[in-house]
Amino acid sequence: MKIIYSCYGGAHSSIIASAIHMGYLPTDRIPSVEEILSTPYYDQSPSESRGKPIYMGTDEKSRKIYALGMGPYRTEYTKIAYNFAFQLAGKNKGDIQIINVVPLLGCLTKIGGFMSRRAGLIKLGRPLTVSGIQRRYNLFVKLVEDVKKRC
Amino acid sequence: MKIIYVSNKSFYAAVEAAYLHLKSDIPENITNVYNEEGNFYYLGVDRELNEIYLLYSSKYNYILKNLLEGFSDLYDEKILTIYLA
Repeated sequence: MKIIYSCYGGAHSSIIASAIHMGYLPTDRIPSVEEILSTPYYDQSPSESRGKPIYMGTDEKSRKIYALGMGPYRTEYTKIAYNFAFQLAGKNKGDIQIINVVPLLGCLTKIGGFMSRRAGLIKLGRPLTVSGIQRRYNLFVKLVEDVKKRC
Repeated sequence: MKIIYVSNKSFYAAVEAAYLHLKSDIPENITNVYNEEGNFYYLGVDRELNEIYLLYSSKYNYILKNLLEGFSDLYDEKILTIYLA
């Protein structure tokens, strides 16, 4: 089975959610700035690579975990992604789950993400994204725990 | 291989190109048949045994192109995307 955490740019929230799922980040406390910044692919994806699933690892139940940025047309592209799996690849409905992480994002992460990924102001934007993630980290943990129970 | 004709605006052109590829006549009243966004419509198999599909998405851009390529890697499916604007 494949679990894909999706967000706008594939650089912050989907990376954090999939890192929590994989156990790269803790679930019992809020991670430090260094821990978040050392998460694989965090604040790394260039905008031109949006749409390409980023493989984050295989979890304890042999589920393959991915992060994915879908840009502004997340609803439409999520449908196409599911249809690709079911109609083209002939997989059954239990084979893939796409989890939208965007509702967990706060203003700080959005502004920081824009500054870092779009405007190239990495030194200013990256700390803002980390601060925003830390503020809402418990919501990320709850989402991942729910996904692990459901899938 | 799966060949996907994708269109966002001139959907009729994509349908026509796909049927030309199949060397087949276009059915009548196609506008009401293949017009649901995001669906992959299977049209048939060409002489080289490639499966021909139609995809209509009004939101086509480089992200969708990446998505299709990315998912073809995920599912180990060889695809060719032909985009008709």
